[in-house]
Amino acid sequence: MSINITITLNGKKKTLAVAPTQSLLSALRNNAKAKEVKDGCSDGDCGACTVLMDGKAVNSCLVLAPAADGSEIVTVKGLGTAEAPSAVQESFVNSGAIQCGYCTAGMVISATAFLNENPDPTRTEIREGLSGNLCRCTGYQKIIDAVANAAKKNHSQGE
Amino acid sequence: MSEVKYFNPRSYSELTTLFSQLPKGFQTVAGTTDFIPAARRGVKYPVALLDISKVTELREIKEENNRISIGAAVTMAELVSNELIINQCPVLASGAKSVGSPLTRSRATIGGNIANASPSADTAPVLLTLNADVHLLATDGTTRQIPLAGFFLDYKKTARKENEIITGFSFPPPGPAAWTRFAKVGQRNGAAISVANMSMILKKDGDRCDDIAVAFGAVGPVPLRAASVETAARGTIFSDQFITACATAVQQDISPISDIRGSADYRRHVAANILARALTDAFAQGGVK
Ligand SMILES: Cc1cc2nc3c(=O)[nH]c(=O)nc-3n(C[C@H](O)[C@H](O)[C@H](O)COP(=O)(O)OP(=O)(O)OC[C@H]3O[C@@H](n4cnc5c(N)ncnc54)[C@H](O)[C@@H]3O)c2cc1C
Ligand code: FES
Ligand code: FES
Repeated sequence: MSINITITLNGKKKTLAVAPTQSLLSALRNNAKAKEVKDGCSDGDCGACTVLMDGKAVNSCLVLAPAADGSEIVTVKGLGTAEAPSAVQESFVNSGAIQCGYCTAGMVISATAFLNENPDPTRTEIREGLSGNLCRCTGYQKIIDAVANAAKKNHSQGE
Repeated sequence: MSEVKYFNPRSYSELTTLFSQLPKGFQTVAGTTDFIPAARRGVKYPVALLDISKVTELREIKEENNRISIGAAVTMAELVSNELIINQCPVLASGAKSVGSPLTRSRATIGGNIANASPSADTAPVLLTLNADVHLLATDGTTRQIPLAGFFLDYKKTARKENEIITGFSFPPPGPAAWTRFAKVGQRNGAAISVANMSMILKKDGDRCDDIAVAFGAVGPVPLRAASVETAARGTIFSDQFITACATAVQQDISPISDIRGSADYRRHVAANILARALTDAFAQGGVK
C-alpha cells in the first residue's frame, strides 16, 4: 500500500507516493530527488539528514514520510542559491567551516533554525544548538565561528 | 512491510472515530525518535500505525483546578520553552532540555518518552517526583487515570494495555516555595543517554527538610522513587551526617546493572554523588528557594 502525501519542498508543492514505513529522508532523496539531503546513519545520530519541517530543524531519517503530509520542508537548497546565498550559507563559506562537506547541508539547516530562535548566542549556546550535527573534519571551531559571524552580521544589518 | 496501515488523526474526535477501523495489534507512535531506530534494529512493524503527533488536543499544556496537564504529543522543545512550565515547574523544562539534541527535542514527545519505558527516560523521574498521573484512553472509548508510580511494572513493561493510548499527564504544580533540581550524568555532553538521572523537589524550613520527593532513572529496571532517601530526609535538620545518611539510604533504593554505558558500581557512585550535591546546593542557597 502506498500513500500519497503532499509536501511543500523549498516552496514548490510536490505529491509523493510513499510507503507507510518509509522515512522522510528516503522520500526526499529517492522520491523527490532532493539529493542535497544527506544520509549519514539513518538512525538519528549524525544530523546529516537535517531539514526544516514547518520551521523546525528535524532529523528527516526519524520522521515517517506519511507524517510529513501537509508539511513545509526546507532543505539547504531552499535557503539560498550559489548566486544569492543566505547569511548562514555565506558565513560557512567565508569562515572556512566546510571541508569534505558531508555534514554541511544539515549543519547549515540546524544553524539557521538555531539563529532564528537565538539571534544573539554565546559560543556555548551555539555548541549546544548544533549538538545533533556531527562533523568528522573540522573540529567544530570554524563551524561555531561561522554561526557566530552570521549572528553578528544579522545584527549589524538589523533593525 | 508494505501492508502496514497508517492513520494520522488531527483532532480528538477524528481519533475516537478511527477506533472502529483500527486493527488489533496497532501501535501508537508520535515523534518516532524511539520507534524508527527500534524498527531498524529489527523490531517488527505492527499491522497499523496510529500517529497521534498531530492531534490538536494532545498537544496542549494547560492549568485547570490547580493541576497542570500536558498532552502526550507535547514535544520536549515545547516543554523547554513553555511559559507555564518554566514558571510553575522548571524542573520539567530542565529534564526535557536534557533529552538528546535540539533535533531530537523538536520531535520527541513526553508521551513517547514514558510509553517507551526506558529506565533512562529523562522525563520519568521528573514526573515521578511531581506525583503525576498518566491518562489513558482505550479504543473502546473508556478512559482511566493512574499514578505514574504504578505505571512502570518491570524493564520496558508498563500498566498500559495493548488497546490503550496515553493521552497525557497531570499533576499539582510544586509551587514557588519548592526547591527543585534535575540532574543527569551521561557519557558525554549533549545527546547522551543517561548513566543516571535524578529529579528532586524539596520543601524546607530554614535548615530543616520539611518534605522531599526524589526519583532516579537508569539505576534499576524502571525509573523509581527513592523511598528510603525520602524517609531519611523528611523532617531532618541539614548537616554532614544528613548528607551521608541520604547517600547511604539511596543504595537500598536502587539496583543498577552494568552495561555499555557504565558499571553497576559506577552508577551507585554517580547516584550518591548527584543526590549529595543536590542536597548540599538546596541548603546552601538560603532563602525559601
Ligand atoms: C539521538 C537520540 C538521542 C536521544 N536522547 C535521549 C535522551 O537524552 N533522553 C531520553 O530520555 N531519551 C532520549 N532519546 C529517546 C527518545 O527521543 C525519547 O524517548 C522520546 O521522548 C520518545 O518520544 P517519541 O514521541 O519520539 O516516541 P515514539 O518513537 O513515537 O514512540 C516510542 C514508543 O512509545 C510508544 N508510544 C508513543 N506515544 C504513545 C502514546 N501516546 N500512547 C501509547 N504509546 C505510545 C510507541 O509505540 C513506541 O513504542 C533519544 C533518541 C535519539 C534518536
Ligand atoms: S542520517 Fe539522520 S541523523 Fe544521521
Ligand atoms: S566537513 Fe566533513 S563532516 Fe563536516
